[in-house]
Amino acid sequence: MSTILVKTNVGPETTKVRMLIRHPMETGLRKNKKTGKPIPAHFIKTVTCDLNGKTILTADWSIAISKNPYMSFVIKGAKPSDVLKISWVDNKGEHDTRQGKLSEL
Amino acid sequence: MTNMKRRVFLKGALTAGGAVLAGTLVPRAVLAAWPAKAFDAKSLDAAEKDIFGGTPIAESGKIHFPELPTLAQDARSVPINIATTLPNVTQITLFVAKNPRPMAATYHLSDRVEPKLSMRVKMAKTTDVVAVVKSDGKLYSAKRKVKVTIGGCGG
Amino acid sequence: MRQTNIKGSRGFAATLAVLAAGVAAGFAPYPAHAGPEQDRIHLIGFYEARFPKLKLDDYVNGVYAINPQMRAEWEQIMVFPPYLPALDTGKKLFHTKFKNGRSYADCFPHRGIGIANTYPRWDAKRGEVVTLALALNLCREANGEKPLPYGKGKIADILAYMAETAKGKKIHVVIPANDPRALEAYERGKEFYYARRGQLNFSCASCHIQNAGRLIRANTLSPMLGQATHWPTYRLKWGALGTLQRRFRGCNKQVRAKPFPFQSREYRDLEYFLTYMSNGLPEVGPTVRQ
Repeated sequence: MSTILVKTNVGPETTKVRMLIRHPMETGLRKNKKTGKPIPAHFIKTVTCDLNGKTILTADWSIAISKNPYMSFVIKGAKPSDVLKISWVDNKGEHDTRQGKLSEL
Repeated sequence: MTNMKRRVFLKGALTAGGAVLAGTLVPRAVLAAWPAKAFDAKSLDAAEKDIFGGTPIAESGKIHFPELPTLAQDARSVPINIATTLPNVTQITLFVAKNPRPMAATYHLSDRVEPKLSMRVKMAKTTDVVAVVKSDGKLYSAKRKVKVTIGGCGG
Repeated sequence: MRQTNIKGSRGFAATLAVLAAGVAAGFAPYPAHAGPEQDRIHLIGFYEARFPKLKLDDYVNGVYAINPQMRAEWEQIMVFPPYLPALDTGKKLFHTKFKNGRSYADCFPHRGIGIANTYPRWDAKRGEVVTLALALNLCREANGEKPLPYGKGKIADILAYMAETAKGKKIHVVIPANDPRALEAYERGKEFYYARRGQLNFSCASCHIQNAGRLIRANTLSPMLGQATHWPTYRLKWGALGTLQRRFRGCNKQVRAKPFPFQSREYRDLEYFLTYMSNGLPEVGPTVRQ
């Protein structure tokens, strides 16, 4: 199951893309209340958005981005058949991707 | 990085000023890698220096935070929208001034996307959110204060 | 609508002491009416007087119906609500068969779909109020599965899915006329609601009826009407979905009262009373709150 939820609104001049990614975005600054041990950092470092195979937006994130991170951006003049691909990679090397036509996402 | 992207880069490098092909970003390996030092900086000034070098940043009235909460309901998830009317924006960076690590995120935009982004950030305390926009290669910034407080029954 | 800003620089207890003074001054007596319907109608009348601009259905949004700044921030969050991954999990869990091949759908009317608005229910056989959470675990036990812990986690995820399938349907809690024990349960719930408790000596009514709409430090107190319509809730404070009874426990702790166990008779009766009071309002859970 994909960790990436996407909603798109294809308009005549712009397309709004909204996403919610399932991820703990653990800062590494918290401690386990019972054991006192620090909870290791586990957060998405980079999100890459490609349109028809070309990167149009790159997001470099830090521990300050909220848990289950949300992001939205606006594409200029896209067609419903254009293919959007969203990928993320985190500090542990874990990753996920979601891809589809704007009209189908 | 695929061969295709490598060729694109080389083509770009041969044009005057290494201009990027329209509609695409310079491939990841060419862009600065994930800015670890800047993300690790513990003060706003140090973070800005780490990511932008000593490049001067001018305040601008053309950078906005639409619908910014004045009093955040939850310090762990504060919705931040950044929008600007500055032209040819290639990078937008967000800082939360008094966070333990002030630099929150940096975005590289191609000309296929509008300079309008939304995200949700963690705020350690009442402080300024600062957006720095790279427009036509120059840096501009704007800031707004967001209050974070302990509630009564809900907090 | 009066808004009293209560600033307590000497701490939470001091803040509530100030609040208590206001409460003691204007405290309404325990409402004694002919029955639950009259209680409900009287309650609506009380809130109509306090919030003349609100329509009945607005109450499902709680503080967001009263506080426009908070509402604007909430609406941004609701564009893509943070409970969506948990809702997805809940759907899968609900449709996953037990080891014996049966599933939750076999335990509920309409296969469990579109019925969350009709809970809690009076169970004549068991002689007690059955909440949806309790019903889920009774189903598990009847099918050889261990019960799920209450309050959060998987049970909250499943409740979110069941609530989602009933979204928009009117709350419809029934107190059967032919079983006096059901009315007794309602009355016990009502008594609990109006009884003072804890070191701070507050009742639910002190905050959510007497001081509904007023500020306690930086928080606006939500009105009781509509409170039971939006569960389970993704509270930003919890960073996760939680159940109504999880909130009961939190609220009791906040007035320094010992919380009751999940699904205790006290909390089930309270939930019965509280949900009945929101009869006719649309079910809107799962949702997001501060």
